[in-house]
Amino acid sequence: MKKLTCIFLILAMVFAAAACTYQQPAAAPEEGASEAVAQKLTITESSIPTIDPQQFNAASSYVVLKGIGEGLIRTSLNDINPGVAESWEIAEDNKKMTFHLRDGACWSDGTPLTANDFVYSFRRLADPQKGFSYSWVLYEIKNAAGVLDGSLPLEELGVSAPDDSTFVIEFDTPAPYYLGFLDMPCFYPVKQELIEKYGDQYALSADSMLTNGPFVVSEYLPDQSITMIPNENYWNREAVKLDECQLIVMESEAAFAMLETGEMSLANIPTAMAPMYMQDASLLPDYTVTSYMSGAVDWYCINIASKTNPILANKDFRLALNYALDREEYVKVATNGLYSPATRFVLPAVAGVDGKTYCEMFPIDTYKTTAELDKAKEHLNAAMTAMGISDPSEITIKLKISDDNAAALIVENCQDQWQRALGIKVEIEKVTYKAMLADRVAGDFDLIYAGWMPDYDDPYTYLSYFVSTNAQNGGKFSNARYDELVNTANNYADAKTRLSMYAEAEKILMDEAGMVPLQVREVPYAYKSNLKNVNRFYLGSQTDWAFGYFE
Amino acid sequence: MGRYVLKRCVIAVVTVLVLVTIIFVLVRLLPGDPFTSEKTNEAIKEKMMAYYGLDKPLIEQWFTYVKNLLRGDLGVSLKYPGRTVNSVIAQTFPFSASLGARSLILALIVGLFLGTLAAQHAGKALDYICVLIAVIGVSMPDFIIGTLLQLVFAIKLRWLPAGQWISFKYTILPVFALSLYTLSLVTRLMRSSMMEVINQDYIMTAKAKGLSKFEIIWRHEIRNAILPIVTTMGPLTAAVLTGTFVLEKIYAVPGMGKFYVQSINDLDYTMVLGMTSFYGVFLVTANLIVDVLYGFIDPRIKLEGGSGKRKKNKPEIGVKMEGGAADGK
Amino acid sequence: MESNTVISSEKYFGFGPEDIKRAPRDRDKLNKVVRPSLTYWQDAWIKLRRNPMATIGLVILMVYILMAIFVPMLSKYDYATQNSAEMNLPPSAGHLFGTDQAGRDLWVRNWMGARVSLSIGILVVLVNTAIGCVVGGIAGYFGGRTDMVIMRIIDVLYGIPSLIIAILIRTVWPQGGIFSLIIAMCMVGWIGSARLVRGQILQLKNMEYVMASRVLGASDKRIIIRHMIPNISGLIITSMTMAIPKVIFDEAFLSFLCIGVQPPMCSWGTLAQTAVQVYRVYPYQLIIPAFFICTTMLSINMLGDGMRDALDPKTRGKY
Repeated sequence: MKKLTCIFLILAMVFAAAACTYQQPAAAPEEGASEAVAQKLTITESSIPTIDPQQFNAASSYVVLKGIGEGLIRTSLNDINPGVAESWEIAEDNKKMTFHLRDGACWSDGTPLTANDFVYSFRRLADPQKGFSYSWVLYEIKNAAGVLDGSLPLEELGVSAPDDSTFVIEFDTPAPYYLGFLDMPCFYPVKQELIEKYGDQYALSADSMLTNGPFVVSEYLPDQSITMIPNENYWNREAVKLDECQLIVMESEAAFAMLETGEMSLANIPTAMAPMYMQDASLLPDYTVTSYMSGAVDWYCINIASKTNPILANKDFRLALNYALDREEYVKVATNGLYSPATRFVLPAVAGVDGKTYCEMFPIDTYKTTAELDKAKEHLNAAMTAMGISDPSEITIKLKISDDNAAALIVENCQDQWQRALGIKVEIEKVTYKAMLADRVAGDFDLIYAGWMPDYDDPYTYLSYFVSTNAQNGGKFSNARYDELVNTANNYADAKTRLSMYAEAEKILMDEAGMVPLQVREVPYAYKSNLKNVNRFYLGSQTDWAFGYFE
Repeated sequence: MGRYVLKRCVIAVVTVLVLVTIIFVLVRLLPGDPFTSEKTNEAIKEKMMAYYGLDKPLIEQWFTYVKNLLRGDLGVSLKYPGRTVNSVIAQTFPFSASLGARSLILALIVGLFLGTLAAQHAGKALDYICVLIAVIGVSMPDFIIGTLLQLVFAIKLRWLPAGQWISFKYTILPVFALSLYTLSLVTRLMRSSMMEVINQDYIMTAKAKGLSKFEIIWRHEIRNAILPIVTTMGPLTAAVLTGTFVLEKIYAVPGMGKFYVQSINDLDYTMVLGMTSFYGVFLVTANLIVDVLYGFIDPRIKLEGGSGKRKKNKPEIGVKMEGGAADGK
Repeated sequence: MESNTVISSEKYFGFGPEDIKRAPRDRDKLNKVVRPSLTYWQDAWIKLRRNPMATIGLVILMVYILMAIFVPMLSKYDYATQNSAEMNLPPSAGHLFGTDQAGRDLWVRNWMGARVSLSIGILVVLVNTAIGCVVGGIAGYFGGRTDMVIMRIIDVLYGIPSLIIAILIRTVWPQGGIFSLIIAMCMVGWIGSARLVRGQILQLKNMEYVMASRVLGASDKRIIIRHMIPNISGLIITSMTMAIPKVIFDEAFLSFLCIGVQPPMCSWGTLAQTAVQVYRVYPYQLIIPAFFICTTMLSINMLGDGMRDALDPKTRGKY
C-alpha cells in the first residue's frame, strides 16, 4: 500500500510540475497598474460584440468607440462640444444642419478626414443591402425611409458634402434634438478604402481598422480584451493624459472581485451588495464608492389591446394598478433604496430650458410614490362594475419578466402588493429576453416588465414610444390627442412651447394609465480615488474615460 | 482494428450531422428572433434576416449550412457582426481546454488515489474521511465553491488573483474549483467499483498466489475497477474541455463556456449550431476513444477483441463476441 | 506458510478422533428450519437496518421530508408574503432562520424549497435511472447493432444543450410549473446512467456465472433479473446518490436562467443562488440552504452506501 501511495504522490508531483511549466504563451506583465503614477486605466464591460461604428448594436460597445472614435460633435455630460466639426449652424426651421469640419482633421494615420468620409459613413449605415441594427437612427433624415427600404438610391439620402470641410444634413421633419444624437457611434466616420478592402472583417483586428478618436486600438482580442493607446494625430492630443487603457471583457461579479483585489480602476458594484459598500467606505480603502443615474426607466407595459384579458383595456383597472403600488416599498426591498421611485415616464434629469430640468418645469402629480389604496379600490370597483365581475379574485393578470435578478425581486414585490391591496391574482412568468421581446411585438402578454434607455437628452426619446403608429408600442396605447401633441411638437422652434406640448402628452399618458411607471435605475460603482475626469452619465457612452487621468 | 475505427469514424460523422440537424430545427423553434431588440423595427429586422440568409426556406438553409460544415466552415455569428464561429472557437477554446485539462488531470489523480485508499480501508476512519471529502465536493455547487474560494484566497488573503487567465497562479483557483466535482465523482465511483472488485474470486486467487499487495492493487484491482470511470470520463472530458459557464464567469476566464448559454439566449443560431457541432465532434471522439480504451483496460474485453478478429473463422463465437466487443474491439 | 509441518490433530485441537461420537439421529430436528429462508430483498433490508450509517441517513432524510411537508402547512408565515418592515433579519426566535431581502420568513421558505428540491431531485433521478437501466441494459445485453444504434442515439442526445430543451418545453407548456422542468431534466438526464449500465452489463455478461447460467439454459429474463440486476445495483445506487445533488443544482442553474421554478416559489438551489449575491452582507442566507443541501447529500450518500452494501449479492447472509 505504501508503495502505491508513493507512486501516486510521485505522479501527482510530476503532473503538478508539468502544469507549472506549461504556461500560457501570451503572458502579460504582472499587474503593474497599482503604482500611483502609472497612467494606465483598466476597465471592464460584460460584452463587446463589435467595434465597427456602423455595426454598433450594444450599448457596451459605445465605451470603446467613444474612446477610439469621434463624430461631428462630442458630448460630455450634458454639453455638446465640437468634435470633428469645429462649428455648426442649425436652420431656423430645424430641418437642416451644416457642419464645418476643423482644419487638418485627420485619421490616426495622419491622412486627411473629409466631409466625404462622413457622407460615406452615413450612406453605409443606410445601405439597404445590409441591415444595420441601428439604422433606425436615420429615419428623421431626408429620404432615409426610402433609402432604407431600397426604393430610393443611396445617393438620395439627405446628407451631402458641398466641399471637403462642409457636411450638411437635411431632415424630413424638424429634428431639434438631433444634434446631441450625432455622438452615437453609428455616426462615426469610417474610411471607404478600408471597408472595401476588409468588408465584414473590418475592425476585427487592430490593424484592419482606422479611427479618428483620442485613442487607437493597439491590441484587440474580440470580446475578450482591448488595449488602447493615445492617438498621436488627435487634434486635442494635449487633453489626453492616460498612457494606456485596457478594457477586459468579463461579467460584473468577476469585475467587482478584481476591483476588490485592486486590479480594476473602475467597476460597477453588484446592486445587492452596494448598500454595504456605500455605507462603509473602509471596505474599499483605495476607492471611492458612488452611484450614477444610468438613464434607464423601468415600467410595466400594459397590453391594452389584449385579446385574452379584456380588463386591461379598462382605464379604471389600469389606474387601480397604478394607485395600489407603494413605489417606495419595492425600491426599498429590491435595491435598499438605491433606485428612486418613478411616477412618470420621462427621466427626471432630462434637460429643459433656463437651467431647469424638464420635469421641474412641468411636474405631473397623477401618481404618488406611495400607495393610495382608497383611490385604487374605488377604481377597481368601477372597473369590476363595468366588466361585470363581482369578486376581485376572479381577475388574474400575468406579469412577464426576463432573466434579471434585481428585476425578479421588484416584480415579486409588485405581485405581492397587488394581491394584498386589490385581492386580484397575479402570476409571474419568467421568460428569456428574446422571447419577451417577441411576445411584446406580438401582443402576447398582460404586463411586461420593461426598461427604456434614452438616446438623446429630450423627452421625445421617451414619449415617441407611445405614439400609436410606433410598431414598438407593444401595449398598443392609442390616444389621438397624444399622437397629435408628440408628432407636432417638433414643428415648434421655441423650446419652451415644444416641451410644454410634451408635458401635456405625458400627462395624458399618466391619466389614461397607459403604463405603470416603476423606478429610475441607479448604478452603484467604485473607482480608484485618484482617478479624475472619468464621467459616468446617463447619456452617451455611460463611461466617458478618454480624458481621464490619475492624480 | 483499422477497419473498425474507420467504420466508427464514418458513423461519428453521421452522428454529428444528425445532431446538427436536430439542433438546427430546435433552435428555430425557440421563441423570438435574433435581431429584434428594444429599438430596432420590423423592416430593419427583415433586412438583417435577409442579409444572413435566414429568410430562405429552412431546407435550403440547412443544405447551405451542412455544405459549409463539411468544409469546416461554421458560419458567421449573428450577434458578433463579421465574426466567424470558427474564429470565436479558435480564440476561446484554448482557454477552456487548458482549464478543463488541468482540472481533469487533478481530479483523476486525486480521485483515483482517494477512491483506492477508501476501498482498501473500507469501514475505517480513512474511508470515512475520503468519503466525506467526496460528499462535500459533490454537495457544493460550483457557483458556491467558486465564489467562496475567490473570497477567501483572492479577496481576503490576497494570495491569488481573483480573475483572468494569464499565468499559472491565475489558474489555481478555477482549476481547483472545477476539479472538485469530478474529483468527488471519481473518488466515489472508484471506491464503489473497487469494493466490488475486491470481493471477486480472481483477487482471492491472486492473493492465494502470493502476489504482493501492491501488485494485486495495481495489476488486478485498479485495472478492473477503472472501467465505470472510463465510461463516465468520455462525456465528462468533452464537457469539461469545452468550457464551463459558471466558473469561467466567476473567474473571468475568456473561454467558450459563456457562448453555450449566451448564444442560446441571444438566439445566435449559427453560434449555437457551431458550438454544438464542435462539442458534438468532441463528444463523439471522446466516446470513440473510450470504447477503444475499454479493450486496453478490461482484460476480458481485450481477450474478446483478439478472438473477434477471427470472426470469419469462428462465426458462432464472433456473433456472441460482437455483443461484448462491438465497441471494444 | 508453515503448513508443511504435520501437526497431530490432538495436539492442535485438544481432542482426538476417539472423542468424536455419532449423534443420535432425530429426523424432526434435522428437518426443522432454524432460520426462515429470506428472499434477496428481505436479506438486503435486514442488512440495511443493521447498518448504523445508513439508518442515520434514512432518519435524517425522513425528517427532512416530513418537515418539508408539514412546516409550510403549519407555520404562521407564508412563503410568498413580503414584509418590507422585516427585511434581512438575522435568525431569531420569531424567525428561526431569519428573513430574506424581501422580508419573507426563511424557515418557511427553506422547507418550501426543500419540497421543490427534494421532489425534483428524487423524481428526476428515479425516472432517469429507470430509463437508463432499460436502455443501457438493452444496449449492453443484446449488443451488436442494437448497441451501436442506441449508443449513437445517446451521443446525439448528449450533444443537445439542456437549456434549449428546457426553454422549448417551457414554451410549449408554460403552465407546467416544476413538471415541465422535471420533463426537461429527464429528456436527456437518463443518458449518464444508460452509459454506466451498459458498461457494467458488457463486463458482467461474460462472467463465468452468467455463462454457466446460460449453458444451463436460463432465459434472458432470468439472467437479467437474477444475475445482472443484483450485480450492478451497487454501482447504480452509488451513481444515483451522486446524481441527486447534480439534479438539484441543475435545477438551480435553470432557475437562474429563468426557466426553472417561477417566483415567488423557491428551491434550495434558487435560495442559494439568490443568497450568493448578498453572502458578504448576510452570510446566514447562504449558509442555511448550503447546510441543508450538504446534509441531505450526506444522508443520501450514507443511505446509498448502506444500500450498496446491502444489495451486494456477494455479501448475502453476512450481517
